[in-house]
Amino acid sequence: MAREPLQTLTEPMYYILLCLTTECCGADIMRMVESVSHGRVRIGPGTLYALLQRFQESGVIADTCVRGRIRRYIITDYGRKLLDEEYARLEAMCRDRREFEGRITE
Amino acid sequence: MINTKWMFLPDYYCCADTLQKKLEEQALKGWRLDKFWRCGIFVFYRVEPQRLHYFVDLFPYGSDFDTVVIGRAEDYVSCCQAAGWELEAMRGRVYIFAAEDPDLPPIQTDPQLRFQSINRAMLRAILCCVTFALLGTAMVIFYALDGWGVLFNADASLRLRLCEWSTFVMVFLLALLGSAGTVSYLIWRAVNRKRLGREEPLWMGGHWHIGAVAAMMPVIVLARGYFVYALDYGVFRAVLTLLVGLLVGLFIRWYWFGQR
Repeated sequence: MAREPLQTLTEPMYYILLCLTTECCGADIMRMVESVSHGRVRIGPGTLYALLQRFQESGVIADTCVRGRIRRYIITDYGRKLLDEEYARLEAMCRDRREFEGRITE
Repeated sequence: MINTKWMFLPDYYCCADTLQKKLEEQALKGWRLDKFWRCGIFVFYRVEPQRLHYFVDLFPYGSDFDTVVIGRAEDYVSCCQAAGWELEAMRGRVYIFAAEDPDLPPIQTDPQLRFQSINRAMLRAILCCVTFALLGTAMVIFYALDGWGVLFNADASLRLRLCEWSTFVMVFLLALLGSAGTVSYLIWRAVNRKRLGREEPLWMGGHWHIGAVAAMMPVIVLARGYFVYALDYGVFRAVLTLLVGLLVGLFIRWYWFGQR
């Protein structure tokens, strides 16, 4: 069955939303994603802007201010709900694996 | 010594890799990109030969009529600059970046998202191609069913036959160009959907000129109109009207886009 857009967040989406829990501009997001993921996830500026557009169209993030050439974004309440749901889903998956492996060793 | 060079290169989003390669070849020969138009005309200026790496990207917030970096695009360009990519030229949603360092992280890191953005941006040009292909083919069929009108009728006047021939040639060219554009898009889409399924990099090769094809369609319609006008009112008046039309077009372009 086809998934609704943004129903499940991809890895770059998850990290971008995580960084946008504090107000950030595009360059900040790229730097923060790399540092938060310990260099595992790198997002190119083209990919970042395609995702920011998608997030804005879906009401997941909003513009806060424009200072010169720099535009800053922040997560909305709906975006935070999506992020929390994704976190709960990932946590449940990890818990399920631990329980499953525990049952096998018993 | 000539310091400017014009070239006709594959212009559309789906040929990004071919275009990047061609631009890199020109940089090695000592020609650096100055500007480009969406109908595939690229202008270069002379520099010292250098090894440059290009990336052709599509700015999702942009409009097909953008001629300057404005609004969100400024933020996007400064983000690319922070990543080491310098903007060489832009038009519409197409932004061409260059860098000397070959190990810079790419501007696009998600092939699925890149495919979706390009596919979405191409839909308008493809819709235009499909419309012309369908209308043109329907009209050619109509001509055939009608016994080819007065195309081969020796009894009809020369003016009438020339008018009919100009209409037929226009319709035939529109059908041909529209079909070529549509087929090339469908091939690109099918190949890349398969590649994404196999987690292979996107195929952005090819030498298609869909943008040029889309730009040629109104030119063909206008050319046919002027041809019929010249038949009725003479060549001098048709040329005069064409010049006035060009001047009005240039004024509108300057007024609408030049001041932004």
